[in-house]
Amino acid sequence: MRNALKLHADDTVVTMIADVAAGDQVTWEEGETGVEALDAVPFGHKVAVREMAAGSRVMKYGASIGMARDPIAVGRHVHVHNLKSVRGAAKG
Amino acid sequence: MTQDTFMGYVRPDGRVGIRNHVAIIPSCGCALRAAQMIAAAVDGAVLIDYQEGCGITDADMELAKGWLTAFGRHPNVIGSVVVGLGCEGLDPHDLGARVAEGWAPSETLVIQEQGGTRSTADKGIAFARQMVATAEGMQRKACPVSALTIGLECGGSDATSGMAANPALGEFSDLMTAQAAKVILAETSELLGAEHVLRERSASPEIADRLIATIDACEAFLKSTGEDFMGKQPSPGNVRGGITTVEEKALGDVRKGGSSPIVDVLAYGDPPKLPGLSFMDTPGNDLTSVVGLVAGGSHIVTFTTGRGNPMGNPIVPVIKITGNPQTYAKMTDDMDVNAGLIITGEKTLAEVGRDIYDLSLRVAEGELTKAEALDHGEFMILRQGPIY
Repeated sequence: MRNALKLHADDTVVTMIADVAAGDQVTWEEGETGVEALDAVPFGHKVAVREMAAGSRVMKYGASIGMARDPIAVGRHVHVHNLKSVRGAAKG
Repeated sequence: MTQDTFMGYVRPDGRVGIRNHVAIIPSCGCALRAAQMIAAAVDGAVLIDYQEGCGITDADMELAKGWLTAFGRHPNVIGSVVVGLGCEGLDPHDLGARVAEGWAPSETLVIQEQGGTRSTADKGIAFARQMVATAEGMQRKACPVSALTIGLECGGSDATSGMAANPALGEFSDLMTAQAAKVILAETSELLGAEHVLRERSASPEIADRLIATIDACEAFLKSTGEDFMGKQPSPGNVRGGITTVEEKALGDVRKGGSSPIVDVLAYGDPPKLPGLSFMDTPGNDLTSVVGLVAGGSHIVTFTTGRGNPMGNPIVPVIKITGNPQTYAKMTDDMDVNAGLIITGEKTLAEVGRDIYDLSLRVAEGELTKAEALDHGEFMILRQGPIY
């Protein structure tokens, strides 16, 4: 049973439609195993489904939603602690 | 395609109204109490809760006067009482004269000329009662959906807004534009990062350039404060709901507009001139944006809210749509549409878009929204300059 939505084929994250605990499977396609969550991630929050290097673009809706602050492993919770806005910074 | 119709009030100036409100309009915060007393005493009268009107720049004053005039002359308003103090910057007689140029009756009362709060309120109550009584003779007639102007708004967003409620509202927007209604997409500060989508959707390169220039100007103005967007765009509640950056919020927000081309770019509060989807330059702040949409003639504002914002407007029904099934369950008294059924797999985006369309026509014919039933009448107007 899927518990996440992937909005575009190019996306590096999926969005949870149920809470998951660390160790739970995150699945966005019926019948697929998906990835294992490395963190507890609440409803509405994002999980990495591709390895991302520090400074690389995080993709959702098929577009950039900002830059990885640090390397992000598959299964990590992706949010303000490791994803930074590019457009919303006062400087640069 | 068949031309859909609804039962509305055709006004003497040819525009169509869907409500019969009497607007009580203070010209400044010091006149607010008298205006409140009038609105509270008369069933059918609503308060336009304007609190500035003095000690603001000439530019802000002139714009505010225009937007208050637009409220007084809105097709949902069948009469108005302008209440001034007498020493404020925003001349109540001038405001009253501008409102009175419309078809509906309007009276102006100035507290320092009328002998105080009580006598002003008493006279205002008498005027407002006469105006409310005129609604008796007004009959609804079949009107084409093309007579409607619809504002699109999102506020108190969470991750479900971009995945469920906003794309469902996009389906609704496409149904409305197919009927040649005027639909307004807004909230400039919530579009940073979605420029590529807007460029593709613009009806011409010239429209795309105007749209991008509007977003650039907004970005430069907000950055001139020296503060990061974080905590404002996205808001703390957006972040708790899973939205991390303004880009992510923008990519979800822009889905409200559906797939129709953007045919025009409007200043805050300006009415759309063309059928189809226009963009209006409003702030992301919900109250301020909705007031701009209503000053621009919106008959209905459709409002998506994942976390649950209960707000309304004094003269226009606001339809609340949540994409979060938990929010719908918790705030059923405030939410009109459960787009959370998309998340739970019980309905498609197209089905919820059609539900919103059907509801909007019932609302146009008089069905009260949840916000109207609770007398939500929030009002906040755009101001760019300082208060002196």
